[in-house]
Amino acid sequence: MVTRRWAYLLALALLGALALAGCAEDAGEATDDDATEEDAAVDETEDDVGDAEQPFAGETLTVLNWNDYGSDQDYAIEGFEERTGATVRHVYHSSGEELREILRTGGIGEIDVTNPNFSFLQQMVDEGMLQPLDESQLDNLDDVYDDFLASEDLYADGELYGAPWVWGSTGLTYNTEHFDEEPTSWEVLWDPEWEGQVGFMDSPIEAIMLAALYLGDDPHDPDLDAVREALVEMRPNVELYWGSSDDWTRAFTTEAISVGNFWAGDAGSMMAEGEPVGYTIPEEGAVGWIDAWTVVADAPNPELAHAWIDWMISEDFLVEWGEDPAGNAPAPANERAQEQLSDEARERIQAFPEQVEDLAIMGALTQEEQQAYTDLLAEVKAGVQ
Amino acid sequence: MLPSGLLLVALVVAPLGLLVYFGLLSGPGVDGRVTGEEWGRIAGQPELYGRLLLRSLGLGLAATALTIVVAWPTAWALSRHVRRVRALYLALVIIPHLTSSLLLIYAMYVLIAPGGPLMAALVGVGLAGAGDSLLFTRWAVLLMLAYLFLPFMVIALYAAVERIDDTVLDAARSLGAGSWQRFRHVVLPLTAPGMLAGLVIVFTPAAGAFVEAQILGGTDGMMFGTLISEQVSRVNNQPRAAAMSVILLVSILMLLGGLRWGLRRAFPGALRARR
Amino acid sequence: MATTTEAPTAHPGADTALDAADAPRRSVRRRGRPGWLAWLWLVLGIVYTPVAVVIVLSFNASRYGTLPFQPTTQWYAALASNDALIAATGRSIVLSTTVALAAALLGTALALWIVRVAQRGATVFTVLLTTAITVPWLILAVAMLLVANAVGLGRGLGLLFLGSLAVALPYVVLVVVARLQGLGTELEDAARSLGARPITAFRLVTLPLIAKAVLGGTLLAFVITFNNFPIHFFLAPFGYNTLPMEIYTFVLSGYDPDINALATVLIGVAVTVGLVLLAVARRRGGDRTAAAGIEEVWG
Repeated sequence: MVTRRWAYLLALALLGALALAGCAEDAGEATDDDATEEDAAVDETEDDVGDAEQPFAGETLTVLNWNDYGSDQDYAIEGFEERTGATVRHVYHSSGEELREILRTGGIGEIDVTNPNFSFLQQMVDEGMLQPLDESQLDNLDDVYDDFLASEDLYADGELYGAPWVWGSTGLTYNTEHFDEEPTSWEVLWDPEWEGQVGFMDSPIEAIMLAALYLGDDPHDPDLDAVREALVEMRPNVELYWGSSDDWTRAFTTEAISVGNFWAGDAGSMMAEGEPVGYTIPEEGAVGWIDAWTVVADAPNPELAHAWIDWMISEDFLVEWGEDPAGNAPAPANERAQEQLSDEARERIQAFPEQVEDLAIMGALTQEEQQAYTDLLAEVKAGVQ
Repeated sequence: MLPSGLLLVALVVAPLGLLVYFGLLSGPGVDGRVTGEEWGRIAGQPELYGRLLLRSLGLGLAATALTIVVAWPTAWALSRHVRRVRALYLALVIIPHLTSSLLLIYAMYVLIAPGGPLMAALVGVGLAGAGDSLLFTRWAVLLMLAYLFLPFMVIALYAAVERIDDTVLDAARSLGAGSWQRFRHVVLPLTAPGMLAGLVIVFTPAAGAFVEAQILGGTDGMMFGTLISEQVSRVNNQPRAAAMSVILLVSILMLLGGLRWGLRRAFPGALRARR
Repeated sequence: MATTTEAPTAHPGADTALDAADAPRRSVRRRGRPGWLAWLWLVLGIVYTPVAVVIVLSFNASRYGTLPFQPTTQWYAALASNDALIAATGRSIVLSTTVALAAALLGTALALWIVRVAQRGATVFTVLLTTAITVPWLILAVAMLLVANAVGLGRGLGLLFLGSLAVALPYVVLVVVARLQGLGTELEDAARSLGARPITAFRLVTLPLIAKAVLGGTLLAFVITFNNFPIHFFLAPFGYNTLPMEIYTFVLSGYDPDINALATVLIGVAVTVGLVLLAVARRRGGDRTAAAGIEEVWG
């Protein structure tokens, strides 16, 4: 398997070399040796790979992303490699802060593209980790929702730094066997009836924005003392502060928890697998997030990086990912992709753009806010009154 | 010998020195000035930091005690009552760790979840009521830590038990010592160095652990190690993480020093090399 | 060594010394008391219960580890086509083996130095070693990377090896020191007075006596390196993903049971290798020296 893939890549690389040699008149003698290998290679590859479509043959693109998050699907990588002739390799992180830590500790100059949450973008620009996007190289940007592109979190000094890719919400998720009717308010998380049955997300920004929504406060600038009080008050109801999709899913399927806040796409996947899951955006609204592709400062291959981003936000890729039942795709930020999804896929990945207006999208946080939020949630979790 | 000493200095002592230094900087990152402000912040929140430090140390001690109780007879049985293939048994004890410990944590999850096999068995023998579950309690965390570090303790104790010379036991027997006396005054003191080594390699990581507690501990799952890791992974506040690491380090070293002193008192002469 | 009288020994002097030390023990060891063996099997039973769960889940259709049990081999098929996971496993095994062997060598040397030479400085070193074990790996990894960046080394295989070694080394040292303490130098002195060179005396007298502690330490070093996510994460060159890196980064989607399948395969291979070695060692008619050698290690 591995060897065959390498042979394939080698063949592609050689084809690229041939294309270059063909263009350059004086390269004749250098490619003499390769000729026989190329003949063999051409037999192995299909002939739909045209010379002109291989502008990046031999280059390697380094992608920094979550593991199993779309960009490392076989069809994502192969589709891109066929189009460009380049090779893709992945570096994984397991939190938004880790993403930045990797860039700080040697990632700049090695990594081409990465995929941070909107809320991290401004800090990354401030730290000099990103370079502005060249919109002329991103044809598919036209298909991205105008509302998303209008967010000021994407811009610094008038230049665009991120291309919106996917979005989602963290809504009220509940066990349909334990609820007679759909709950309509976050109040249920504070209701003593559900003591010891709530799964609450262990994320400072999500926790604090949700509490602010519940209190009717501004989720982007809440009164932290009131938020703290509300979260302390909720604590007896909480059975688990969950940190990963696995944490939630296991606790839910063993009925250790009945209700809580959970990611839309993951709730949709559970529904598709027949679990008794209900998902709703309550009347107070819910926290939403958008992930955007960015080009890292000093990227080794900036043009290839733009080609990658254009592929990632294309309807071709986003539809294929959304339709893949094992793909764990969130909702696409590409309007045309959303329109093309089947009803089944739309339900599974919760691609309902009309929800967006009920969402409080996570925005940029300053370092001080981040510290205060983290310390606040730590106190709540530790049981400090 | 010298190269390994140098290696230790280069790779452990140098980062440790850095750790102390980082702890004095102003965050975030590690390019701030020396202010010591994070120490002030920690001191200003004794309820949070003190509570979690005590929880972590207590849990670490309990897990260590549990592993000693299980590992001691295991090491004895391995060294005295198994023919020829002792090392194979030793390997068998440690082979599960060839998987990721994360998988073992989730396996324990399945076992102790409501309705899981272990809970069903406990209900069956009347030790638990229907619907009870160890999951999301501190007992689950204790169980997991003791499970994960058991092989470490077995290996440490095995090395010590193995070296007890039977002539010594025979001598004690011929002098009229009963089996309890032989155990208390001969065998146990002779394994003291092994126990000490075991204490170090089990207690230290157990007191700093947080992944196990995060997954199995529910709302009791917040540990001192969780706080340290959050300061790095959520806010890049390496100075505070470093300061907290120094606190944890010093607490652990002091506790180990106390335990060592206790072992020395209990078994006079046991921890000095026979020359 | 200790239990094989048949093992041909190169040096008659050392042989006598060893036999003298070991002879009285053998008689007791031969008696395996049922109660103790039952305890041993009980402990092994407990140790392998979670492993059994992993194996069962690897054959269960549910992604979330839920019952009822629905048999399937789909996760093994998924594993077979998961190039990334297989490559990561290979890297982890190579790294852990190299580090464990190096840690065994250096750790034994350092332990000997602490017990035999340093004496006075032993306490300082023990505190240092304890400290090295105490620092959370996450912190140690970040600090190491910062040091490496400061001296212009940066992430790389060399740094990954050194960092893993620094974490594993103290464990080997502690275990071997515990064994060496109380092991006098009389036997080795005797061998030397009979004309053995120091290195020969060490190899034939002391090494066999501490062999099992060294082996234990090596196993510890192996599993610690195998599972050391933070060190791998911060020190490995970009794109060099080890097995823990593959597993711990599945935060968003959760891991698939093909990782359970992988764990089952790894445990199966390890247990099989152990049993084969055992069978070879028990076969009496074969190559004498080889059998004795294996028994020396596994006995």
